[in-house]
Amino acid sequence: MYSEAELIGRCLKNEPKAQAQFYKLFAPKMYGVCFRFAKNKMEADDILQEGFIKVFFNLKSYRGDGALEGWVRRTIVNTAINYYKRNLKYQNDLEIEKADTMHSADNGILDTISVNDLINLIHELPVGYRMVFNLNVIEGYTHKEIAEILNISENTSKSQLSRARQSLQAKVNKLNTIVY
Amino acid sequence: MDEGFNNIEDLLKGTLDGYKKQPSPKVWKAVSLKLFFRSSLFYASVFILLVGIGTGSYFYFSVNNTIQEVNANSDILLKPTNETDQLVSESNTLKETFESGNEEQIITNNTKLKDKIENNEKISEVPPASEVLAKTQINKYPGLPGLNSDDNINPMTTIYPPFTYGMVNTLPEYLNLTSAYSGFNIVPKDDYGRLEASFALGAFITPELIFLNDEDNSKKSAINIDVTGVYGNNLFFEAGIGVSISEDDGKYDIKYSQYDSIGYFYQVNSFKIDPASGQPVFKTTLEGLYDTVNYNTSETVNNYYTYLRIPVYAGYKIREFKRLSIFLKAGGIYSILVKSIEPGIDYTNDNATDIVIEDETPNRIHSYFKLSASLGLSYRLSNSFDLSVEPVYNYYMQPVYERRLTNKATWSIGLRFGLLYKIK
Repeated sequence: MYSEAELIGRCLKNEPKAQAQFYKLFAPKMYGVCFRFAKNKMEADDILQEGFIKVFFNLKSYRGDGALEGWVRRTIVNTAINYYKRNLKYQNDLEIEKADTMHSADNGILDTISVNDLINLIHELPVGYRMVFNLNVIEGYTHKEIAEILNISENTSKSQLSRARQSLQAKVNKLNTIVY
Repeated sequence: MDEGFNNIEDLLKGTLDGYKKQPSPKVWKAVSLKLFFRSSLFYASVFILLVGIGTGSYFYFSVNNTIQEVNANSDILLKPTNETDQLVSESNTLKETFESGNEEQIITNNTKLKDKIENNEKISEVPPASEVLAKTQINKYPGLPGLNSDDNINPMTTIYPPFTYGMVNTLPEYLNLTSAYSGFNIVPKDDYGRLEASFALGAFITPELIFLNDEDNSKKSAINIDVTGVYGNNLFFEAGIGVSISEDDGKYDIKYSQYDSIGYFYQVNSFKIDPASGQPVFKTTLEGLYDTVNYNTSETVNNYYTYLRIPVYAGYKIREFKRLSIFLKAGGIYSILVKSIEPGIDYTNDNATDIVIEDETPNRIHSYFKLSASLGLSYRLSNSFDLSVEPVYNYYMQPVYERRLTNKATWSIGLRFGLLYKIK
């Protein structure tokens, strides 16, 4: 096992063994990130593959002024964003029916939801909502940043997030119905 | 209500922020393959390959030019003089030396012999060369039918590898480097010394089955039509142009909402207390429960893609049996997307609202390169026409999709049928 600095150095020299170790170190966590942004496993595979190729090709630009994992994660998230942009052929205008779905969730129910259920909830979100929700809630981007990245207005970003929340709430309630 | 949202958000953030999942091993294979193609090892391999092809081509064309020069000066023949006899004698001595394995002596003798040959270039009298050559052991150039007669071979002017200069046809078969080297001498001559290199035009059609190697192990079909020029004989080169039409699925994800039944419940209309048991007895009616339900479905359609293709091959004829011959061929095909036919879908459902159709069809890559190899069979129909059948294997250097970075390389098999017309 190489130290982080040695690992980077060897990866920059294109040593296959070091590249494999680098991949093994970060792949599971980065795949989790990809899986949240993607709609399914195949898309997640694509993003991870494309992302790691970018990571290896651009590793020379990592200056070491932050955590390596953070840098890798940013690269993967950017890859997911680009993937989303390239695939954006239809604007999703699905309206959430507020009257039927707006109920707050019972706190107790949330404890019973598994990680897989949560991932499924995310996957079921329309692609635009999913992207904004991931960037804002999980990755911590502001609406201004999201607006710039996705080339949308801040208000659109806010509205997408609001609809994502409502949609998630509705889905949790549905899950609640199934549980009991 | 906000508290509910925050609960979900906190739960999602807390759970998913550090969420780990083991990716498929195929992803790393694809990443490492891509890294290899960017590595210096790959470029070194390509460089060596190009140098090899360049060197081979140089020798090939050098030897052919020499043969042509010899034929153009076929009236210059050797004179059977004492010097020539001595040359032949020394040549045989060299053969014996070679068989004995004394390398130092071989080189010394070889240099001497070379000098003597060069000094004997200007010989004026005109005897039949065959008298001289008959004294030496003549290599029959296996695999080159036009060279079975050695009358046209002039050891004084034909190019041989440096080490064998002057030793031609004097060594045993297994030591005669010229015999091995004659692999470059791929254009045979007829008994009149004319080159038999042929140029042919060919038309080919290739049904192809493509294995995309994606998660679904998808197989797609394609049909290729090529027109090519083929130059050479035993070793030949082929290049041309063609079109390829391939079919693929267009995938569409359809989301819609529909007011629909989601179950039923018992509506309590009234109740009374049973005096015997003291328990309440409910009077109920069965009521249907309706809500707007989100549906998700997918549809596939047939898309067609037309590529312009440029095939380039090098091949070698392995064996010839009367009219039949077997050949090996390898090369590459560069394809450029010129036309896409994607009809799309039109989803209709009178009860559905908020219909959203997402095109999930991965975009086709605009150009790609594939390596191709085949083992073919050719049948001579007449002096002018050949029929050929080649089982072909293709390995795609790039995926056929722009963003679908498949984990395994795409490959295909096909059967190439062709008709060749020999021009000379």
